[in-house]
Amino acid sequence: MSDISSPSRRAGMWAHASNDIPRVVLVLTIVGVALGPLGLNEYWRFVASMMLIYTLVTLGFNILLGYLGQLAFANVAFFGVGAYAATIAMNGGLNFIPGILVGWIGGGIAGFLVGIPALRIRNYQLAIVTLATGELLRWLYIHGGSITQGSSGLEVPAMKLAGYQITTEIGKYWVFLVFTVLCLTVTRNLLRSSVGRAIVAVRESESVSLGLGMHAAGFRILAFVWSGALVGVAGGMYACLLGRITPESFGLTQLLVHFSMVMVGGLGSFVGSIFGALLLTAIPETLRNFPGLEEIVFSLLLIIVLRFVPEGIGGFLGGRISGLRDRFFGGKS
Amino acid sequence: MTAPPKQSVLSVADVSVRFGGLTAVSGASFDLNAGEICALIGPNGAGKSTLFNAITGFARTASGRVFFGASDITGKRPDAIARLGVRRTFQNGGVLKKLSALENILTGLHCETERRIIGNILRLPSAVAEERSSIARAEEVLHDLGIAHLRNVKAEDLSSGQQRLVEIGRTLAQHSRLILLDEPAVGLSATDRANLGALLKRLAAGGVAILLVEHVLELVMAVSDRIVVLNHGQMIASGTPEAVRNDPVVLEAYLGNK
Amino acid sequence: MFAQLVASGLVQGSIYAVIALGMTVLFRSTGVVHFGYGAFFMAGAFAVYVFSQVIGLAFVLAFLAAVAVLVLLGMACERMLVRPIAHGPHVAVAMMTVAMSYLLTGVARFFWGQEVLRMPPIIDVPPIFIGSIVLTAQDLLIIGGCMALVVAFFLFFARTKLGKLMQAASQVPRGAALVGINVPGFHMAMWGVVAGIAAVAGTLVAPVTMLYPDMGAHLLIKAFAAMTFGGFGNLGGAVLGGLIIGLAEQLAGFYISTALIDIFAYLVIIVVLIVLPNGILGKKEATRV
Repeated sequence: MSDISSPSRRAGMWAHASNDIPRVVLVLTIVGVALGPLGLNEYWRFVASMMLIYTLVTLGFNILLGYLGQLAFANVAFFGVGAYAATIAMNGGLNFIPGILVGWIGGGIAGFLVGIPALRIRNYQLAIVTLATGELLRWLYIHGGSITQGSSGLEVPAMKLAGYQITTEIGKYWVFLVFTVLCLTVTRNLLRSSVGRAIVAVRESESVSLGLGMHAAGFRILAFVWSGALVGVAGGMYACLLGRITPESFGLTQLLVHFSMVMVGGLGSFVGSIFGALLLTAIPETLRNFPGLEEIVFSLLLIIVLRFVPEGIGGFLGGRISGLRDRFFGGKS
Repeated sequence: MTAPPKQSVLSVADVSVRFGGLTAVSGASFDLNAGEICALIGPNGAGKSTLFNAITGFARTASGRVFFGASDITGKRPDAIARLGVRRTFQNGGVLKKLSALENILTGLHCETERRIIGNILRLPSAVAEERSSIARAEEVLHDLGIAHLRNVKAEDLSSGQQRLVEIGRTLAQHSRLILLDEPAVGLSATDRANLGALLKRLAAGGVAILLVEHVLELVMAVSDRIVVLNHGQMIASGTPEAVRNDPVVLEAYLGNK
Repeated sequence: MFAQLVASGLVQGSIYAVIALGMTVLFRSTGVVHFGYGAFFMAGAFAVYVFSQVIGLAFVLAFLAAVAVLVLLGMACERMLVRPIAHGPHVAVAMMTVAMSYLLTGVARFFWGQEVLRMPPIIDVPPIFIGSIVLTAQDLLIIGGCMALVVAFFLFFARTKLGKLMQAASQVPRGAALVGINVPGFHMAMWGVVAGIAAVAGTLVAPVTMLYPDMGAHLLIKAFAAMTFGGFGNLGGAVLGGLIIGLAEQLAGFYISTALIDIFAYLVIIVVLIVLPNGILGKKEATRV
């Protein structure tokens, strides 16, 4: 499995990483991902869109849990803020793109606000504060009066894009696909650049990062803002896909789903995040017909991963594809 | 105007550091010129690492001043001092264990690439070119240290001596004017020590000022232009290796503590 | 009215205090922050319900059975889920307790998620009037039971040899092995003990609140608030914090807005951690991550 000892095979991973994958495979993948859902029924097209959304959610969460190494459980808060912000903006008459941008900015601001206390509070205490933040926000959605419409939630208007109304599942999928690929590319580039190295350096040792001239606090905040913004975009897309958002969607069960996806994918693994999201979204919606079953299945998965494969899927794939492999488990804590 | 032959890079003026009631360093003063290697020696607990920390901003000075070139860096934040071009290693090993050797060296070039978020996320040609040149520079450093073959090995999989070399390489990447090495020879074989000594000499010849904390006296004596001896936070001697070697106070401090 | 609010605040607060105490005891003795402890409490309440209402045991027997089940559950969790990863990063253990929490909640929801479960009071006597304050026998039982647990733990840690040894051992993990404690066994025992406490608390509360799967998650946040408020890892602080949060919640709910009852604890956590990260009794406690 490990090809660490044969460095030549991974030569130039920073500058030419995409060359690791043959061009043909890349092109076929893109075509397959774009056109594949045409062969699916409406329900599976919906699931395909959900996979895109959860890919962004998982990657955003992984930036904090894996790359920055902080137990920050505010992911659902970012998701909800993105969804509500985008919905409110679109109800105010904005088109899809500016609406999503509002979700993006909203998520980023939420990330910033959570990131500030995270400069001082770490570990368990940060986990507790971020859990509390998520629940506090859910309370705000319920008690937000006419802005959030309480427990019944907000109706999301039909997606408007460049003068068209997008109502079909496949139309939504293609729009989401463009945004997802854009976000993934940009995030991959960031994580592979000196910024990504700096975030990992801050995680590994704050003093060393300072000794290298890194603005450690700045990179912490950047990671939180980036994570919040990515998940905020996902939240906006989620609202558009479902057509209605309720406070119930942003509770602890949602958190379990996000958390399991990150852990199954592998902490600090970019490619793992994508696979984690795809696999766990594919666990069919039918689970939701039996209350509690979703929690049971996801928590069992989580337990199995923690107990037997702490590196997740990324642990298997990491060395070959991603530059920033798992760097979380296996080290001293 | 020609540059003066001896240009002061680091000037430590009457620096004291206190932790609570304890005085860890008291009234240390010395200068370091470009191209000079100065070793800081003394028994364990003499305050060598504390003085390092005071110079690099990791410990607060209670009194005294530290100058880097002409600028007063007393009380500045460690990252600000590093950005001015002061690089250091850490006594307990500051290598980033989950990054490869190459990536570790690249983090040493961080200050040159820091403000490029937009360029990086869009992979603008300038950013790509910069990353390429960083990698080229990092490979050069690895080559100089004789560990080019370890390029892609995760630092935690390296031997402790190799980790030290990677950490030293990280301080060299950016052509710093001042390098502080905290026990660089720990875990190195005799050959590696000799190589390290030669490397330090070469760097100094290129104009880099090096401050060294080291227990391996053989290395210290071989490379240092000057030696500062600390004991119980006090500077008890300072001078050429020859002078220090024969200083009765130094002998007493070393032998008395054994 | 004020006196009545104080009384109900103390009833609520003593529950928070016991849960916070259980978490603190586990944290102090094993270094684990138990994110699944709320779910253990929920499981305790459901176990009593199952034994007394479904199986039909007499209350005392149902109570004992529930405690026994929870003690075994706690020990099994330690042995099967925590111990195998205990040598790894502590973050992984914290994550494992999060997973436990969801698993228990999911099981409860799967079997009883649709219906509202009610437990009859443990002792059926008319409410007691003390001046203008009305207290039910159940309220008194809760306060009494919780305080008894608290006192028992304090006596155990302060007076008994084993308790002192445990406290000493918890300061230095390797110290425990040095003084001859079987560390894994000790950890497993502590998991069992605190799970038992959760069962007692669940039993006391079950007749007052209806049973629902998320009751643990809500209580967990309150317990965290109590621990945070009293200084994380401080036994006395956790109990005091629990009582204060219970009181303040009731008062704020009445005098400011009832909606505040739900989020008071969250606000406390956020404000206290940002302003006074070490709590009101705080001195620096090192966490193990």
